[in-house]
Amino acid sequence: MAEDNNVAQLPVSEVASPSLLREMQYSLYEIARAAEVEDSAHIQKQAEGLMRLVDSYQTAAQLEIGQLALELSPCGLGSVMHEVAHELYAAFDMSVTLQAGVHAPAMTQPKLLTDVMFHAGSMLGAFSKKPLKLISFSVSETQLGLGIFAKDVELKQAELEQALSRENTSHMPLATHSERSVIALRLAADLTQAIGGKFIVGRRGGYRGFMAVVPKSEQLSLVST
Amino acid sequence: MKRILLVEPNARVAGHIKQFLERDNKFIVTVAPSAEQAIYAADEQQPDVVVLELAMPKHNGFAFLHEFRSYQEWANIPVIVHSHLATQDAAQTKAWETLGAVAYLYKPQTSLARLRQKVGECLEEVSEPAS
Repeated sequence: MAEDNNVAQLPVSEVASPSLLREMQYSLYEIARAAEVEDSAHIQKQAEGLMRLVDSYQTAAQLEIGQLALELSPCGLGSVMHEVAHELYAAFDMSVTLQAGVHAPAMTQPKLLTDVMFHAGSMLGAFSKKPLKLISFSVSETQLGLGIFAKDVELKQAELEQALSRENTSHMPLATHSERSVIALRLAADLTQAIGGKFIVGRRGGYRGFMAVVPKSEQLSLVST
Repeated sequence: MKRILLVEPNARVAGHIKQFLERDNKFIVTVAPSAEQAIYAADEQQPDVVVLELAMPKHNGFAFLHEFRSYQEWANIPVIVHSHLATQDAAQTKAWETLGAVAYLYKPQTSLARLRQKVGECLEEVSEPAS
């Protein structure tokens, strides 16, 4: 099933560079224009968002070439959700509500999972004009889901896959939603894979968005029964 | 005061451009975040100049420009393309020229001061056509 043009087979450092550079150019443009009108708050937000993107890119690249070893541990999704909501608000003035549907811990790396949801939220926030919702839920006996969703966005898994394909990485994929590149989604997908999960388009109730499906922890239950 | 229609999908960028262009009270800027809303805004505001980003979701700036130029009453309103799309693509360059844009400003290399200067130049040319 694997094809030569499947971006999953290409190193992130090879595929993502044009897209990362494009996104950096967008951010630097906004910083320069914000400087002309002395909007220091926006300069700071853009700079910090860009640093985060570059940080995730470096992490993904290091993981790919084996320079970084991940240690997974039991982690409550609630703490990740609070962190993500806080960071999306700080970075984008984005309003996010939380809906915790599970109390069982995931077996994951909390910083990377936070980064995954932050990047997913940053993209979804560019598509949606309504407040976003972070939801944790049970997917199966061995898997948990954590996703960020919007009420007013139509997303399909095929769109995401096309966006992440080699041909579209440096262009304007998901073009019906935003003119920005999807490097953030590519990084979210790579980091989710690195923590043993998968990054997909999902639906919860009347909401659609991006979600990470991650392994449930078998070691520890955070809620005594 | 001259009216500028700014077609720009990024709200923050649009806010900065609007703030800068209105600074010396020579211009009033109306922002339209999409091609569809830009047509409505043009009909309502009757702009003196349009500043247009080409890269927009759904209907891009080319689609707007094509429709805008189809209206006789707007035939002489200058359109300045102010876009992230690079100009190395010969087909794109020909497209915006053919559709009647008077200038192309590449966003990453255009300050707000330069944009304001270009808007002023275009408006002067409209009010004092070459003899």
